[in-house]
Amino acid sequence: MTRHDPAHEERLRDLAVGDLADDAPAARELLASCAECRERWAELRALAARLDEAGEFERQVRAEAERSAGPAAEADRVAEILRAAAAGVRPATRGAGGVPRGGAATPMRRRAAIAAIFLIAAAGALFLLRAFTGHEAEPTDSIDPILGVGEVEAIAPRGLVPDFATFAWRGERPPQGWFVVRVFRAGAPPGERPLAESGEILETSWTPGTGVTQLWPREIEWEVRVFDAEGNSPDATDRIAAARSAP
Amino acid sequence: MDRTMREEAAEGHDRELAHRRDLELVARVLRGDGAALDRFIEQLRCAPRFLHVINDRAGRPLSETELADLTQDVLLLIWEKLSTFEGRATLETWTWRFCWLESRNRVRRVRRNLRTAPSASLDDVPAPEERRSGVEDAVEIGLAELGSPRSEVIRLKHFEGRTFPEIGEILEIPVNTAKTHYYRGLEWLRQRLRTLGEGTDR
Repeated sequence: MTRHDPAHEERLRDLAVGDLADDAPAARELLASCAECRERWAELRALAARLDEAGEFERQVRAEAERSAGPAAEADRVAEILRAAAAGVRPATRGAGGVPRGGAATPMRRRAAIAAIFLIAAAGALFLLRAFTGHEAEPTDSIDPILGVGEVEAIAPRGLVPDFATFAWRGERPPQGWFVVRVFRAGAPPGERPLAESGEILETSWTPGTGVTQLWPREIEWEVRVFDAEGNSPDATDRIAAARSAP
Repeated sequence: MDRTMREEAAEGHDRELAHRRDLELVARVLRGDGAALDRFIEQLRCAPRFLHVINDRAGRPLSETELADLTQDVLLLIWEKLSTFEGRATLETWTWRFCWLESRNRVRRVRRNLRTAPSASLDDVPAPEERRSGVEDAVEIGLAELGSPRSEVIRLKHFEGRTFPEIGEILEIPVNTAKTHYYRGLEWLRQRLRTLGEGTDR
């Protein structure tokens, strides 16, 4: 695959950020001479227009919400829920008309129960290990191996976790390089399309957003790959398995 | 209406102050400051209003009971995630995103359950508003996957109408870095929307 001319890339960036007007001679020349630039610029403009539309839609809905006062009971309910959360107590769920609805275990209670089961299971496993080996389990090496530039090691999420809020790893990217995280469903065969793929990341963590992670299955596998300035990938982690403790 | 540069600068300054004020408020709430909690609750009262309007615009797929449940879940989710608030958006904007994404998730779940129920009678053809919100969904999903700081730069530019110097100030990055994040984010989003099956053409 041929790489797009870096000078063209620079011009496209200038166009996108408004540093270069699309009727400027330099822009006209670029768009007349490069089909890829022409196509990408058309798509970027359409995308920018679409983002403006999405922004406008959001502003409209928010303005409408601003105008609607909402029932006073709702305001009280917000205070009740947040004060209970601040005190570490989950309030009773209420349906319409403020009628309490009992019965079903709440996610918070389920989470606590699962965490308790997990802790008991872990303690049991430790006990069995000690019983069979006759000595303390070996502590894991607390000194992290030193990684070279372009090497990467996944840290979290790993194993059973409360949620997939933040993906973290360690490693140093090459100069001008970047990281990319890819998330797969658990057991996905090689070549299967990821559930999600980050953009180019310069830091050693990625927070994909709650709305997205909640669409993922409970069990996932993920990997992080490091790229150099040329887009080559010198290293990638193994796929790391993780599961949400809450359903 | 013509606006003077001074008015625009003052507005930008006010909005930047709002980001910092909210960040400080959240930090105080997390430290257990009771007065800050009162103010925080006051600000979060926008959440049920957002959820009501979103539900209305989607043709009221959620009942009042489901909406009450959703309000509680959204508020608890915001509380759980409060320590991740970085002041890159105002608290109200941050709350809006939770409301929007969670209500879309809930509506999808309700519709899925209705479709699989033996006595389902739901019309499978989405309402016009639902089709429209599908467009915003793809953009929101793409932005959420993009992650910080690029998604923040794009949101500040298109959703809040900020200039790059303002974005640089809010995110405490050089203007040129803000522009580079914007371009790379936009380029990534362009490719991602293709794979989400949503071309940039309408």
